[in-house]
Amino acid sequence: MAHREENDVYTIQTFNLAKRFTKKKHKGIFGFLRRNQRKEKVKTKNSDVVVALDHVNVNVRSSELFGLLGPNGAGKTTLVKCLSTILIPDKGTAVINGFDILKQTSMVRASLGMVIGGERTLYWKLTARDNLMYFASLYKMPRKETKDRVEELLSIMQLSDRGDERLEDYSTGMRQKIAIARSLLHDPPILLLDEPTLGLDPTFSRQIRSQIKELAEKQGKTILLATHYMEEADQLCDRVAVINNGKVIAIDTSDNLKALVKETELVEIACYNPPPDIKMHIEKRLKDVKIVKLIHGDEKKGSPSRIKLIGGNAEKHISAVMDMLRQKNTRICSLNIGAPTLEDVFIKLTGAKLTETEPGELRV
Amino acid sequence: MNLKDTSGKVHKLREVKCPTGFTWSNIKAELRAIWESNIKIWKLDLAYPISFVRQCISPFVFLLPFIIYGLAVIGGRHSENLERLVGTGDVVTFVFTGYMIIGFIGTAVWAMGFSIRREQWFGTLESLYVTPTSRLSLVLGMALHSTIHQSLGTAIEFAAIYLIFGLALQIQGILPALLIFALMMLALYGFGILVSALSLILKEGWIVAEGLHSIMMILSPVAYPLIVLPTIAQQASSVLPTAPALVGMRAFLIENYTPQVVGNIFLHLLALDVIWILFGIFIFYLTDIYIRKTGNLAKY
Repeated sequence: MAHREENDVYTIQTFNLAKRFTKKKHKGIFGFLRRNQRKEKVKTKNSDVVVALDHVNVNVRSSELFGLLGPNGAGKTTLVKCLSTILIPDKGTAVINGFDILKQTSMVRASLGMVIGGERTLYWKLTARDNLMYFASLYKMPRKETKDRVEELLSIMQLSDRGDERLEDYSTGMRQKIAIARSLLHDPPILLLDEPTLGLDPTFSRQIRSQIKELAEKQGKTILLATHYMEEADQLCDRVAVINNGKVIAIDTSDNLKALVKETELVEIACYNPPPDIKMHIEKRLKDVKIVKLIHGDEKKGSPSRIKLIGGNAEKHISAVMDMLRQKNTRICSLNIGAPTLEDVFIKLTGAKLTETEPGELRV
Repeated sequence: MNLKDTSGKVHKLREVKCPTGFTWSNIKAELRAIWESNIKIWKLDLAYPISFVRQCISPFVFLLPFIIYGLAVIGGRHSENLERLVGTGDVVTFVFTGYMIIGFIGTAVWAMGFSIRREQWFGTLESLYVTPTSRLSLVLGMALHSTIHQSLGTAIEFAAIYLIFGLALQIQGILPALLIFALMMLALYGFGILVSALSLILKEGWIVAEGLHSIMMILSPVAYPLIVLPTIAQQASSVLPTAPALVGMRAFLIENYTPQVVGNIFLHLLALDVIWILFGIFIFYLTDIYIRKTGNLAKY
């Protein structure tokens, strides 16, 4: 986890942002022939309104990598779109780099680089260079600086030698790199990244995450990362806001959020010949560990016994337990730590599951 | 721009280099965006070579029936009835000078009208909308592209028709006719801006475009003199720039052409320019606010 110097200067601030959408009901071609149509409409009047943002207040510090974590449909993209001025909130406002999103839209857009979810946000029939050159003109970059900047970004993305190929010949991951390069063209102080690794294979995901991390740490960019991958938020972000049904339900560092569900922390030690009184010893010495279990294995058949410690910072007591076992000449064969995840936090806070996890590894 | 932290300490925020407002550097940047949008559209057009060839051939395909039909019905290129109505009986010259503007009606209704919607189909609209460039510049980029495209096409058509049929034109009338053409284009740009806004709201905007295109074709005296239309249609045609522009252009271009109403054509077109441009921009910005409020930008 990156730890940059903390300050209380907020480059992204939202003030009671609220947004609702009205869903039209599609009744089909002959819907007008249905009986009791009017009655039905009145009955379900309220269910047509979807609350996308419910008075959201978020403050993102300068140079912070801030995560917005929530399942699909939680309101992440709506928030990102409001901040980028392509959606107007019903209520409230936000300040980006000191500019109001409702009154100073041009300066807000000039302060932002944005990676929007979806594959077709670039021109597939143009080359990567042409795409970047065109968007540089839309970001009002001086003509003289444009070419060098485009070459620099292609080089950073390791795509210099393929810059003259059309994007239709690129892989999804390569296109995403060009989308990130586009967001960096005008060297904005703030980046809004909406699901930047969605649909990418593990190799590209890792590369993109590493670039995001570098942008925050080395270039001091303020980054708002909207994601439904809990590992991504956990590994990259300084702080995470958990959002569900348009409401921000918690904001804190990943560790602090996970501390809310410490009771789920699990340490499992597989060993042979554990002393029969080990459970009592552990309970006596490590009083904050909530549950200690000793499960006897069929050791003669090669199945070891297992000692389980659950809750109460179980991970911190590993060395103490190991020492106890060694003193009793117990042979330890494996150690597993099941730390609580942001998924556990989400379940605790909302009672619902966050999402399916991304296949493949997630290490940065 | 500075911000105070909770302890009262002042922090300087990262300065953002972006010209805004009514400054020369911003106007220059917007003009460049318009130009680059035009270049981008050329590149996209050329990426589909067959479609591009079709675009080059289709103006001839549409023009020839007009002329051949006229020649067949009259039994030659001279019509006494036309001469009685407008002073010139040369059907080929009369029809061609009218036909020249059809492509430019297409610029307003189809090209400009669908410039924003086209980006929505590509999936690039939101990426464009998060840049600090004015949304109007994106439409004007398409206007520039389409105007260049149509002008090149018209020049080629002109050369071909001149070589095949010959045209009785007054060379000294070309410059004033171009001035009238320019005034007509300004009003058409306003009209195009309006249609681009409507096509975003209505989604199936092609129905509106088709309807508007048909109305303009009827009310614009492309292949017949304005005087043959019913009085009410003649009056309605005065709100469109194409009718007075065609009357004025023919007055300067065609030998012996004696239009009934030339008088204040420049003033008429100037008034239409102001009205259509202001009305188009007004509706465009209202629509922009509406679609950003409703979230329609991302909906197909």
